[in-house]
Amino acid sequence: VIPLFLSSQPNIEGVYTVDYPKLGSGSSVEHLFRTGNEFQAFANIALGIRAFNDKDYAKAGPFLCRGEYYLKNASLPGAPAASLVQYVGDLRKKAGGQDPAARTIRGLRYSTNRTVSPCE
Amino acid sequence: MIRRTPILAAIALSQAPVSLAGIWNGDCREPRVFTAAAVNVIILPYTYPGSDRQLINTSRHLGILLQLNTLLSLVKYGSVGVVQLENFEPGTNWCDPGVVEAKVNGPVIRGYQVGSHRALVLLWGRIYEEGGQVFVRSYTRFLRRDADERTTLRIGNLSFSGTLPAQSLSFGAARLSRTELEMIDSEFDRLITVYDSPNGSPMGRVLDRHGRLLERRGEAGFAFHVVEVRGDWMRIVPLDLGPRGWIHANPEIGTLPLGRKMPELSFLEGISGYLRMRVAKDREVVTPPRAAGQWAESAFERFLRDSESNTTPLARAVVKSANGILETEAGDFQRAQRSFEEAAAQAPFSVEARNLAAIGQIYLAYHGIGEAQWKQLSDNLIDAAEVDPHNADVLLNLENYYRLLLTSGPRPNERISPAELGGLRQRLASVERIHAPPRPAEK
Repeated sequence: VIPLFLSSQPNIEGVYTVDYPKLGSGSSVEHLFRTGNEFQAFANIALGIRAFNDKDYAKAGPFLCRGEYYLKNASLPGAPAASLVQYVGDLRKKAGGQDPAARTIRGLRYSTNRTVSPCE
Repeated sequence: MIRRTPILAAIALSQAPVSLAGIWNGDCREPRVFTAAAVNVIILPYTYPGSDRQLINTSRHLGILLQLNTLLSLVKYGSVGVVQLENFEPGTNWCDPGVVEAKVNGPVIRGYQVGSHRALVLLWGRIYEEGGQVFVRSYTRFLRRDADERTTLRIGNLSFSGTLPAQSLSFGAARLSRTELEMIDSEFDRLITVYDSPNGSPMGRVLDRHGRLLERRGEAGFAFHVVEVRGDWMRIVPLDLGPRGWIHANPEIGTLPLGRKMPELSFLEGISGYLRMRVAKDREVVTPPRAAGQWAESAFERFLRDSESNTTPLARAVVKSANGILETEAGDFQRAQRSFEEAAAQAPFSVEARNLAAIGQIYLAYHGIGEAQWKQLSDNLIDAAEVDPHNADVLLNLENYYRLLLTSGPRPNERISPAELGGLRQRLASVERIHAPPRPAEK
């Protein structure tokens, strides 16, 4: 299932409703969330996108970070599209760039050789 | 309209010295728990939105099975109440976990609420169909009233605090075959029967086939004490009216105990043990058995084993962090640190898990254990703060670590240059600016 919340105005409702008709009658939205990992991925991404759209970057960052991690590491069925993974990662970085606290914290690091984000 | 009846059982709830007690068929509209119990577990109805008769029955019966299983698994901790609630107005939100939690954790009225600093665990779920198969999926939330799940490590006069990565979790769905559904129904029939002795003669029933009380008593449900346990059998004594005798309390689905089919029951056992220990530390309640921490850890291990890949990194991180907090409280800091690091490895996106691992390492470093250099210890906290730069715990820990370095220096055998000390002061000021509460808007 490729979520359709990559539309121009993504929002949390989109996650739960836009995909719904695709599942066909008799199916349930639970289909999207059969495992806890799927639930975590989709719910966190949806909440992160909503916070980002609301310009609440402090909230968006942690949600998108968790969503990105689940997306990359949770063995979701029908491997998530690379474009989705890219989209969420980019959005997380944008949120971090807009949050002064995130910029300050990054500047406090002593080591410069870390390559993997905790969200990946 | 809610019918109100004078309820002796409910009065007894607040007064009875609880070792292990339960309620069947409590009413979500007026939920009651055992105020004096260190831990109350509430099993909410598993909802099923469809029209399949068998599944409607299963959704009604499952709560009782889960409750009996939970009672049996928690008896060893003592001071535990396990309440099973029903929705007497289907289609309403009376049984929504948030609604019930607000009531039992709200202002104390007639002693039906969770006592101060006592713990509450909620379990609820959904039954749904997909592709001709039936799934049951559970959710949980746990908390202590008037307390949080913070643990604190002190170095000199500075403190470093951390908490669990989550207190609400969703579990993976368990698939149930039609045969297993029938087994749930037949187990229900067997379990609601009261016997004169373990494996003895049936003496009567408490509920009818639909899970309703045979002897209706308003919203109180059937409240009872468990006064004796033999194997899988519990001897119950009603707090008010109702049958007394032995009930079998270990439901099986096919060849598997219910706990294997639904590993979240092992999580429930583990987290209840964790909370039981935490409550006992904070408040004067009956001391839990010395092995309670080990039992909790064993239950968590069973949960991880039985749920295999069908559980989230977050749930695994909660398990490891809870073990680590118990080990910290017991003074076994090295073991606790291993647990915290496992939690952070399971959920690197969790600021809480990373924070616990970071402060544990600082604590050990200042007690002569570990190889990490002071800059690495600082970066560990930065790693946590990068996940959530507004997390109050990690920001305060970072401030305190800088203060520690400025006042006490790093561990023995390490040096900080004057230039680095100047940099530390600037870093401390930067974090304090983030951490400072926002100034009120100018008028």
